[in-house]
Amino acid sequence: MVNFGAYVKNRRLKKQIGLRTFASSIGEDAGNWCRVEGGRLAAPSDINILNKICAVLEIKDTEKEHLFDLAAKGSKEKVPADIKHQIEENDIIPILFRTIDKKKLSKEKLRNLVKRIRDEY
Amino acid sequence: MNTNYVKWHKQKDLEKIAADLHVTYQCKVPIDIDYLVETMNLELCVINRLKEDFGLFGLLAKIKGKYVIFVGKGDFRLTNYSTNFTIAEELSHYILHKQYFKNVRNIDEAVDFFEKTVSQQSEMMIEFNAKYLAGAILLPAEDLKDRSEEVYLGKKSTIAAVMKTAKDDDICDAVIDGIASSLTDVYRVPDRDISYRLRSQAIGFKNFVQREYKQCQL
Repeated sequence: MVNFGAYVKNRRLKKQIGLRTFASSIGEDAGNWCRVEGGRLAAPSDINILNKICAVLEIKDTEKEHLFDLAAKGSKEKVPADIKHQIEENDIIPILFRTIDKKKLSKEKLRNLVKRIRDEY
Repeated sequence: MNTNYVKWHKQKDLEKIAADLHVTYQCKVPIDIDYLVETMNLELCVINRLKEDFGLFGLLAKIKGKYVIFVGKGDFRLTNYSTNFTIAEELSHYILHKQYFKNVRNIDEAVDFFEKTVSQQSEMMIEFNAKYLAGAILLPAEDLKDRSEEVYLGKKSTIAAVMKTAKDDDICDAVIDGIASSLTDVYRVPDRDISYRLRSQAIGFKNFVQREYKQCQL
């Protein structure tokens, strides 16, 4: 069964709305919202946010209940920790990591970067 | 070091890649780069302090076989417009260069790959190609040609008056920068990136402005 994040992402892409535009239009932080859609952060339980999502995605009243059910289920699940432990640092391979001043990142810094990605992904 | 390892893409090839993308994904100006990335099955993720802590605007990474574009947040200099361009550059790396990393299995191999296989010259080629393709994706050639000429013609009498009195053709660069500034909200791309593209051969706007300048000098 599809989860809340996947459902919203699917609806959002059908409406051709990009991630940051959508997050901004429902008053959410884009960094958090990509984790919600990826199922790595719990679904929102705030009814105001859910109503904003319905408004932006033009979700009909008949479909609202389904979205609210998914959100209720998603907000109770302890998803983040479970998912986080499924990603090892070795699973993350940075590609083309040129810095803005064209300097190479040291191996140590690169490892810190991978840790940051693992923590925030 | 193997300087020939990386393929150099000609500008006309990059233009074609961008034009094909626009058709395939039915892109409209302004290009919603987030939407394009996600429609191409990449994931987009915003993380804290990427620039402050690591000196990176963006990063392409492979996580369990899936490609993810990371962009930073929290830096006041990172406007939405510059983030659009960063995402387009990372998408361009994915399109042009992902095959070089297909056998890279972990972080050590990624570092080794860069240090032992890719020369500094190749790195420059990689970055140049990615930047060019990013511009071609966000600033479709025909659309940019039309709009830049339209803006120029709308201000022609003012520009012509300035050109007549200009000491040299440096004025052409100032005109291009001015046109770029007026298009930044249309494309949601920083004006410096629009200026860069307006000067490219594919757009030919610099030649156009120089012709106009010569006419004014007659």
